[in-house]
Amino acid sequence: MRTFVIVAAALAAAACGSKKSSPSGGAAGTGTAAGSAAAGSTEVKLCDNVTTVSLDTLPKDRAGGQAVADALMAQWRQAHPDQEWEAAVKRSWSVKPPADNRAVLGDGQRAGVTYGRYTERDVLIWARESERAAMEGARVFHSGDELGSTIAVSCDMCHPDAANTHPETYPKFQVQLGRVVLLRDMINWCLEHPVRAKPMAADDPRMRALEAYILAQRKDVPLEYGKH
Amino acid sequence: MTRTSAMGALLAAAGAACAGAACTGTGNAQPAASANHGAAPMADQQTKAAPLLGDVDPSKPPPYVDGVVWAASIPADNAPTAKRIELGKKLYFETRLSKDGTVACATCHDVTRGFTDRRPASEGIGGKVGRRNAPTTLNAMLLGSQFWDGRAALLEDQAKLPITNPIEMGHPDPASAVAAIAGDPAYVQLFQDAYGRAPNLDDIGRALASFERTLIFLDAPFDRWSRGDAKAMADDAKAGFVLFNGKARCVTCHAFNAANPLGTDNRFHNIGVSARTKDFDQLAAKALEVLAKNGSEATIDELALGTDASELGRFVVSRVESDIGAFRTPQLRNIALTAPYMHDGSMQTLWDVVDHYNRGGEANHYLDGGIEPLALTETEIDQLVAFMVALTDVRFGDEAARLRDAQRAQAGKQRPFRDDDLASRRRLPFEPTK
Amino acid sequence: MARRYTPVETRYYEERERALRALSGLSRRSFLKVAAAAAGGAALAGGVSPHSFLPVRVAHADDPKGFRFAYISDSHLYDRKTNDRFVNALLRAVDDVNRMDPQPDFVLYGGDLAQLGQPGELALGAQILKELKAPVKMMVGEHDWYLDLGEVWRDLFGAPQYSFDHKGVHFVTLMSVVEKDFWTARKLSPMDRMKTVAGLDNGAQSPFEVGAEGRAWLAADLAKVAKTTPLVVFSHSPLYKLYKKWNFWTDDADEVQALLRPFQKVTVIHGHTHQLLSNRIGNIHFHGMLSTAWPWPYAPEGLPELTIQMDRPDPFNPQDGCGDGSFVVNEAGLVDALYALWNRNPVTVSSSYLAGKRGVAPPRTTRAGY
Repeated sequence: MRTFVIVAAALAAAACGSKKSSPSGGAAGTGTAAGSAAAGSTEVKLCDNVTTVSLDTLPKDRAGGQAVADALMAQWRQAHPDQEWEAAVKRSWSVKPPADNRAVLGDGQRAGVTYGRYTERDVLIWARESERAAMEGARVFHSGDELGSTIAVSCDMCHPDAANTHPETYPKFQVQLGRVVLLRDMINWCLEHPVRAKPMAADDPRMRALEAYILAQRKDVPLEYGKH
Repeated sequence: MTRTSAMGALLAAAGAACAGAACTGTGNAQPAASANHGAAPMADQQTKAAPLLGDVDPSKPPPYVDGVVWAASIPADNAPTAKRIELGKKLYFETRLSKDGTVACATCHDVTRGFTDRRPASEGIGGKVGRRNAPTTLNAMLLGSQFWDGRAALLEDQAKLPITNPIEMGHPDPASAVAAIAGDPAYVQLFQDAYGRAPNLDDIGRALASFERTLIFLDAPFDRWSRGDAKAMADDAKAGFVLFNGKARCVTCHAFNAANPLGTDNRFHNIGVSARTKDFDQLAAKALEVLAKNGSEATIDELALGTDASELGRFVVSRVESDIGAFRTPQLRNIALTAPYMHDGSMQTLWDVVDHYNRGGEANHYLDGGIEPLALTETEIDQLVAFMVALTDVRFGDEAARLRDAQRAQAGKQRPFRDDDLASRRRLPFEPTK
Repeated sequence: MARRYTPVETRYYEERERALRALSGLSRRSFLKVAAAAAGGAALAGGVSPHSFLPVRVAHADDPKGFRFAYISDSHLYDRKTNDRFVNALLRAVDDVNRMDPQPDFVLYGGDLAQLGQPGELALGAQILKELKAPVKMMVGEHDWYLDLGEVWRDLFGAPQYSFDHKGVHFVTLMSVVEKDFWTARKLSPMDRMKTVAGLDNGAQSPFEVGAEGRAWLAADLAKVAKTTPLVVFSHSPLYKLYKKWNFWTDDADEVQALLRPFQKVTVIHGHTHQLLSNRIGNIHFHGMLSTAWPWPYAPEGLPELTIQMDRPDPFNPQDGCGDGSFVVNEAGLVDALYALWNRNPVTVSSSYLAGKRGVAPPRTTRAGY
């Protein structure tokens, strides 16, 4: 029997590629034969070669084909609950958008400078990446499990929408620490005490994400280091 | 001095519980009175002190002290000079400043005993025992206030109060204290050189303060390590420092930084030491009654040292409800030298101290909200103690190690403050006992 | 030697009362006058006045025609193995209320007993609240409801909406955390639904409302009550529109307020906001309750003018900005709120202050949130 590999949608493409890259946006229904299948039935696999649906009869029309694709995607989503994380984050929490950089696209000396000739595409990529970093932070910020809390406490319990975090005041004398610290030191203090989790290394991806989200939420607030 | 009936009631309660010098109002074991009230003889102290104290340039801040903070800690009318320091040093050992000629500052702040007396509560004239543990004179100038309850703002103020306190040095009034030394021509000359005046109590306080300001001992293994010598502190002390700043939650009240190197926030906290034994609300009511009739400095001093109201701590000075049972965070510098610990000297070893914090102090209505059970392991407790021992100035040589070993032996025999159920949160502070 | 921990406060509280009465030999009313004057800064003859040292119970004068009830609110319990801190806080609140002397007429539980609506969490809360000596009136919060839509709650505590009369005052407890169905279309599991609602800033949920059914019930209940009868409404959501993003909000607040407005003396007492919060809209007074579990920051917009913010909590004290408290229904038929903040001086927000009278405002903060 034949085994079909189906690229069901852009989502599946995302599943088969890395989280950040989007290699192709294939339409439903493209098929290529690969491997063998048990006699008497057809196994339909997703491009990740793991997610599988068994069919007795092959679909005859587009609706049937779509149903098979949906079944595959449902199975894949169940196994990968985080992959639609961006949509989930957007649904639950509002993250402030990053700065608008279209001013760099204006006329001027730009034409003569290789590294100044930014395009709309560049501006879009910067925005997407910045936004994604803040959203990753929102995800960690709101999850006791991600933070490693041993008492099921997450940051948003005292800081909904990252309120009351004041990242614009760092570096400052943090009274709980008895010395001048940066935002990440206070995040670690909070992790250790109210959240009762292990403090994170400064370059821990979760720490970087938390800083990104907290700073994003304080957009437009002027810096004022040292403020209590 | 006249006593109100309320004050009398508070004092009588103290007296009834106390028989002779062997008992402090705190109920802690107190060594028997000796001729020098437990201190080394003054001459001995002066000899042993000489190498410690050395020569000081009075015009400059000592090494490792923030110059701005140092200058801000000295009042304008008492700039340090060599003559003032010399006078203060002489007065520090001067037993004539007590009524019966047996007690000097150095009695309770003995230079051979970490500049304290290593007793739970200090003993004064006539073998009378007070309520409070003598803080060390070391580094005292950098504290935000003096005494466990901060009732003196400056060293000048602190120095004068014991002289006229009835159970410490016992002069009935300033004139009596001054008369005791004013006849001595050496003193007359020294006062003239130092302050250009005849001896008087305020200048006695100033001179003592000038001398005490030279007692800066901030060169410990911890400091050398933090200045870059990786081998200056042992590994267990380093692990203790990590805990100090993290899991053990010490740093918030006992922070060290260049502008404030002592390991104290200079605030007043109720950590539940008195709650073990005292009824705060009743005491507070009685104390307010006394203070309403006479709120003088002397009354506060007497309440603080001679009566049960001592356990109210800062409340006697500020009369703010959240200060009930609150005492000033002591410094941690040279802490290995200054056992026993806490305002009443109720904890003999640093292991006892950590046990107390580990179990979340003693629950009471006014307990500082930052105190909570810590779930520290035995190893972690040892590491914290090792760090605290590493805060001893290197000029004290082997004394810290010797005392630590003695404390460790003592802790090996008994750990009266240990409560694993509370420390591990198996039992909660507000959970009624079974 | 095993140490037995006994709450020392229990016996000390009785002694404190006696000691204070003995303090000046004055009758209780005159003592309160003196104490109030002293607290205001006037020096007693010959000495210094006590600052703030007033037992919580007599922080303001109780009127003989009035009565007091206590509250505990927003405990957000997990099971004890998961989180001991919230359990300990509720135990402390119960201890506080049990130590009140005289005992309050009843204790209001302000909602959000459980954190994730689990049967175990609700049962644990019920078990702890059973230790209260005074009778308890329960109110439901969203954290109690959205795992199973109120099944366990009803079993344990009965109908979420009810009314009762007490000493001439009509009390109504509303179910004001109704949310329009957001979960069916997205095929959310019960736990997913609960976790969505549990996030204060989670925008995937719907705004709170009392709902048409609830309002109809309220209208019918109030139809039997004279307009001169003092009315006190218990609600988890604030019954006004403060900040939608955090559901400090009741969507049909205008309609509900319209039902309440005809009454001459109306006070709404609400939970959910975990902070000192005060408001007046027309003739309706609003008092928010403290949480035992954690404090919320103040909303970035929409804060009522009458609200005097509490000092920004210090996270070193996990109970800072938390506590419990009590309410006095005074002779005027309005409500004075006493906030018993843990480790801080208690704060009174009186009905006179809400009505606009000067001189009775609570002290301001120098460390507001920003």
